Amino acid sequence: MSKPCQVAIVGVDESDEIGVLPHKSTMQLVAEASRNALRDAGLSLRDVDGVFTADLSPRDVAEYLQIRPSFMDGTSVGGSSFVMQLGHAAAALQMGLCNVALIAHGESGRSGIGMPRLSTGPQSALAQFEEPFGIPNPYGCYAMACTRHMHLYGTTREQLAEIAVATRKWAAMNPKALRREPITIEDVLKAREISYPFGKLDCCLVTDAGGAVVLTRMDRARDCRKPPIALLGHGEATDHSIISQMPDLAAGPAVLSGERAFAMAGVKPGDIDVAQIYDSFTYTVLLSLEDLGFCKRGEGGAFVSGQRTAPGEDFPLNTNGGGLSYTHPGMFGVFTIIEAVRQLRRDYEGQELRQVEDARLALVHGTGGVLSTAGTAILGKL
Amino acid sequence: MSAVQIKPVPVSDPVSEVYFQGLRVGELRIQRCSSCGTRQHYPRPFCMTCMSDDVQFEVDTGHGVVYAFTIVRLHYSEAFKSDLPIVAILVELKDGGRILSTLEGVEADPKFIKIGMPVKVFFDRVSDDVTLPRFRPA
Repeated sequence: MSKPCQVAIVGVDESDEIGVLPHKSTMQLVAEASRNALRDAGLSLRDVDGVFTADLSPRDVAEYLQIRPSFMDGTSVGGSSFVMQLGHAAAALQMGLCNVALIAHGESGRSGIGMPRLSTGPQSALAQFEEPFGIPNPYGCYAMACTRHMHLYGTTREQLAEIAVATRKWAAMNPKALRREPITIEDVLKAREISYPFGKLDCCLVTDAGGAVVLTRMDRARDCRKPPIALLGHGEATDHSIISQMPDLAAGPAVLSGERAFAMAGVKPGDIDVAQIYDSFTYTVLLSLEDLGFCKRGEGGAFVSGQRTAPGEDFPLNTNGGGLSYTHPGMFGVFTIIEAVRQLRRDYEGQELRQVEDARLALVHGTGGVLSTAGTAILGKL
Repeated sequence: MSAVQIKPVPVSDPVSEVYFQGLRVGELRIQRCSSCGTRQHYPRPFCMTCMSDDVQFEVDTGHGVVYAFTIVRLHYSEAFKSDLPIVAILVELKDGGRILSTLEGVEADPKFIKIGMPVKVFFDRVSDDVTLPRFRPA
């Protein structure tokens, strides 16, 4: 059993700009986010000796940043990878394998500048058993999972739309968000159908962005520039890679990652003050809320109804505007961590509803692949 | 998501070759472990439940029910544009196991596609080398 309270997040930030950036490469976004997060912590590139990346090789990132790490982790299992890497970094820090861990991500997901070449190859399971049928990955797979949930529990498109509308309200308060104009349930229902039951507004954005997170052991964290945010618990899980292998389309591996994270932190879903849950699609959020135990199985639709997750309401969720409205370069997980830390540090003090009052305990949750992988972490203010 | 212009066709590996050969002769071949009785799909080199090497392909009845579906209206690959809308389904096979495919012969409207509806396989010869298993209402 680890001692999670001994590790803290001491710096977080995005790249200098996020959105549509045809003038910046993937690596530049990584570098900007890393510099900004290190400055947030009052540290420098020279201090970093642990490098954590996904899709990009930690080898390439270390070279670009001129870092010579004693610990590298390239866990690359989709957008949840960065949340999992919080746990990996904690393990490495506690074992003394590194002293300052940098989780660094950049992705020119919209403009495609300097993106790594990723392919599963024609003899992968995906290419042999799914792609020939014309199901688009990932959105067709998430849409398919959603119809199963609708069938079993009577979940409606209106309930899914509640999530998109509430998330947009949070984005309206975030100057960095790409989409800030208000939308209604009707707008979501009437948006162009992409893959039933998803319309365009059920789907995340595609942007260019970088994000980075810096962790260190608590003894050193107290000397950093900003108040340290403790990593109290973390868990990860996977139960399939391609959608036809998912054991139950209406229950994901977040059941396991959540249980692990809550058990380690010694808290319950009801104790969480603010949640950042990867919203690749509206359904991703609804299913994750059930999987993580915020409501019972099948009750996700009722849970999010009545704009419950909007600013000033009962359950502050995706307070930066999420992947649906703020930014989503392809793998969003790192941005869930950044926002949770800012809420716990009260970085938005004086910005009225944007700052969640009395936020002491935050949950961050990443989903990867086609509901394939899950990483959950519980963060706390000291 | 890069724009793929050529429709992807499956390329078998040494273990899945028997499955794809079966499709070419009109058989849906699913592995069953002779030792523990578990069916597994897609094909693997041995039983992933009990680790026995004694896995055999059996000819499936091709009957099943729709487990989940989506109606694809937008595809990033130019190659699929003329096929849209595509009714993609996950079929729960009667004798166990799930297979991803398309549902043909039904209007692409959620009113007519019901989870739980019975379906039956048919074999769509795409080229001399490739036959795909597709489904129709049973």
